[in-house]
Amino acid sequence: MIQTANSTKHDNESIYLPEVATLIRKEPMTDLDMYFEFEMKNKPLGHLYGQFVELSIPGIGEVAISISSPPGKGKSFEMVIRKVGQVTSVIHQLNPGDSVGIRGPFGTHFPMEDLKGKSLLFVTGGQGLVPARSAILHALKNRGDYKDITILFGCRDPGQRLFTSELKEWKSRDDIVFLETVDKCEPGEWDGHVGVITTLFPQLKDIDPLETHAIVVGPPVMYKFVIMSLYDMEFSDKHIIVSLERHMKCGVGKCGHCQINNLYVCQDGPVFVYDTIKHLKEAI
Amino acid sequence: MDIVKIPENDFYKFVDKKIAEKSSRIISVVRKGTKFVFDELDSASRMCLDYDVTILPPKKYFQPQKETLLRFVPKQADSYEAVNEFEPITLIGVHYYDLAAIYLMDRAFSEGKKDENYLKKRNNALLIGLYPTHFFKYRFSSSVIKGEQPYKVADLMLIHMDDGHFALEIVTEKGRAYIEGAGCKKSDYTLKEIEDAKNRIKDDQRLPIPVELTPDYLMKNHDHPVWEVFGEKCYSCGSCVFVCPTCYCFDMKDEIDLTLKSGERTRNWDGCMLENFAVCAGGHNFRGKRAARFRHRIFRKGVNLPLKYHYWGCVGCGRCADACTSSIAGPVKVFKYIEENK
Amino acid sequence: MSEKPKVAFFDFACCEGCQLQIANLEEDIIGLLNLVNVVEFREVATGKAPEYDIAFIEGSITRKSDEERLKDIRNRSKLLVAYGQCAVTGGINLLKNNFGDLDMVKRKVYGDDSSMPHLDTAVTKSVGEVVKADLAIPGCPVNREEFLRIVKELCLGKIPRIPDYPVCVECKLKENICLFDEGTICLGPIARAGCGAICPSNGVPCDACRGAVPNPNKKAMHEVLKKYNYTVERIIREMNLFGVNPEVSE
Repeated sequence: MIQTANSTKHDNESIYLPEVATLIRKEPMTDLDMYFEFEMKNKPLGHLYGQFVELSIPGIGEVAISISSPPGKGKSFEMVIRKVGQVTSVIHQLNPGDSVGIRGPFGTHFPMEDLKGKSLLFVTGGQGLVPARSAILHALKNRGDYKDITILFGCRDPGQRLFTSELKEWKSRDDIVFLETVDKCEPGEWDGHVGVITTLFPQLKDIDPLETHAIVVGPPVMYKFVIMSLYDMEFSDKHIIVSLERHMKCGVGKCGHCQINNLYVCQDGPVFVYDTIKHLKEAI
Repeated sequence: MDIVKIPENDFYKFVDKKIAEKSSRIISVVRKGTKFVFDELDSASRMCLDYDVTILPPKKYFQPQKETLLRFVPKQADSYEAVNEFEPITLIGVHYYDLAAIYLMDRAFSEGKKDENYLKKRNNALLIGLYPTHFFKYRFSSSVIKGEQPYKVADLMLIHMDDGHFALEIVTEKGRAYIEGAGCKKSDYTLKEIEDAKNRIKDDQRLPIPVELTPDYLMKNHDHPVWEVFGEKCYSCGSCVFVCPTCYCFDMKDEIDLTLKSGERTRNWDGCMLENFAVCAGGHNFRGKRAARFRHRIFRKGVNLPLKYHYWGCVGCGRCADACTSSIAGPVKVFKYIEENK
Repeated sequence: MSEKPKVAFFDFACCEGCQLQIANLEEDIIGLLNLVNVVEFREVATGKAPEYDIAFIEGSITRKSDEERLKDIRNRSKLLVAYGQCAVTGGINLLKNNFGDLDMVKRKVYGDDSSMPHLDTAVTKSVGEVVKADLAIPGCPVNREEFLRIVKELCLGKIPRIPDYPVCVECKLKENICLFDEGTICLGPIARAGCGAICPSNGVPCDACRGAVPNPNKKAMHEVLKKYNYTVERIIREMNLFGVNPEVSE
């Protein structure tokens, strides 16, 4: 048992030690959002739909970022990162070939396997499209596995639209319903629907709440109103799947930042079936 | 469980011998002005086992205020290396409620993903517990701790007897090996004498309702005015959570050397009572109100941890009540207010 | 920044104690000079430069001519950092603003000499009230470690952050005995941390020299004053030293 004082062990059991990934592509999406494709150095990330990683730059810090691509791209995966703080502003300055640290994937995922044979209603607001996209792309690629697919996307103004070429493609498809809105716009800037995302709901036809699962991802303010609209359509709590945003600092259920009552959003979430968190008053 | 006894003076001599051996750092309670703290001993004469409470709990040895988790070269992700610094330590005179708290900390850091930075420090520690010999006005441990809880982590338990001896309960084989050579004799105390000595100091305060009822009780009082009433007097200074033996929230920060050629990711104490603890990247604060933060802390102790671990999340040490300049932090006061304002 | 950034230090109305903190960095001064190229620093070196990557401004702005000088520095600086409480809020120099009649203040302080031209004075302003300050490093004086951290972070392209929690946090981390328990009034519960609680750690109550936390709780302060038998006038006097507005509340 005797060891010298201050013995240092380099210890790969650390849950805080990141893997390495390399930036292979980046493209601006909005004034604040940038698309990134990373490639893991060693083994594929092994993530599922809607999970997140802790992305870091040594010396700058670590942030939780959701993965935007479905599994199945080998060692590569995609993200859209908004420049809002200390770490993300440095991430935006990275160039292809630069490396980052990755811990994860962490958290629960959209249950795309369990949802086979069901209809899907995606309700996404702003950056919420980023994690939802991993499930949406999967469902569209495996279109035959699901019944009706409806995608709603809303954002603050036309300049905030993400994945615009994909939105265009979704709009042109006749095997899904895609509806889009912006909260507000300048005259002549936008010829689509204007209003918050719930104003799209009256356009939804023939949605069978018993056969459909709603996947809801958006800014904190959105959930309450969307869930009310889903209730109006007679959705049950078991058919509403939400992904919650919290400050996920450690990703491993220790640091306390993401806690809602007895849940650690980084481990027990971010994806929850609504009936499991409905009773938690801080959740929505 | 074997019980032995040792004259107090001999125990102090034994501690001096252990200090001289240098096989582990010897840590115990020492005076700091009018208060007490855990500190490393260079001589057993500094040790003060007749204390009310220490300012900080012994968690600082397992989850230090600041510790290094990683080393790196700035901006070079392939340079990350894990750091885990630990060394053998012996903690002497840890009150039974602090042992109960260490048990809860152990669970938090070992369940789910194992946190080796905590666990290595913990597994290299020998814990010698103690039943309090000194009154502390805010303590209410006897109404919230189950008797077996301290024994889940203690290696040895000291009980101060009236005849100038310590009775020593040998809880683990590691503990037995440690006191070999201390000159302990077989205990001739009756079980009643031992029990009486353990319970010599009666707590002045009690939780007004049984602990097993608190989860339902608090859930029912989620919207009780108590949170607003107490919250509006809260500085959000975090004193209550920093001194809490069962709080372990942390933040991680990157620090860079002046050459910009090396740096460290450190883990630092953080607290849910600080205003910006639950702020997200987008700027939304999920517990922006003082009342919500105040409720979260009490719910964590009285609902979340009990439901998860089947032990109360607070050990009744009274440190928060003592540290709070606004005199609102103590759980007993909170529960009493709810009781009086049904 | 690939090359060493060109850094300059300037002082306005102040005691120059903050630049003394920099000049007294001891062995770290070498490290600092390896990191940045100090092109102007009156107290330490001669020399001038036409433009700066980072200009550190110490002191508050109390004369019209100083406003012009500061604007000129701003125009020639990529990044302008207010450092020290005088620069950040006006600091101790704000005391003057409490009296309204500045001529009276001047006569009181300088007596017969008050009419001398170099004693010209105006209302105290912070650096940020005159030009855009990209960053503020609070404290009277600035904390050397924090100053170094910020320089390192700027060199690395990281946006520096200043603690937004109260000094009580740092007292707890250091296991200090609370000065309220020792019978002293301390502004720690509402004062911005980052100093390492240096004053309370040495038995001296906190004067909030780094200003107040963003959302100090006035109501709690009143409660605590009552509990410890202090008057509101007493606390306002303490707060006035560094111009912490006691009316700031939720």
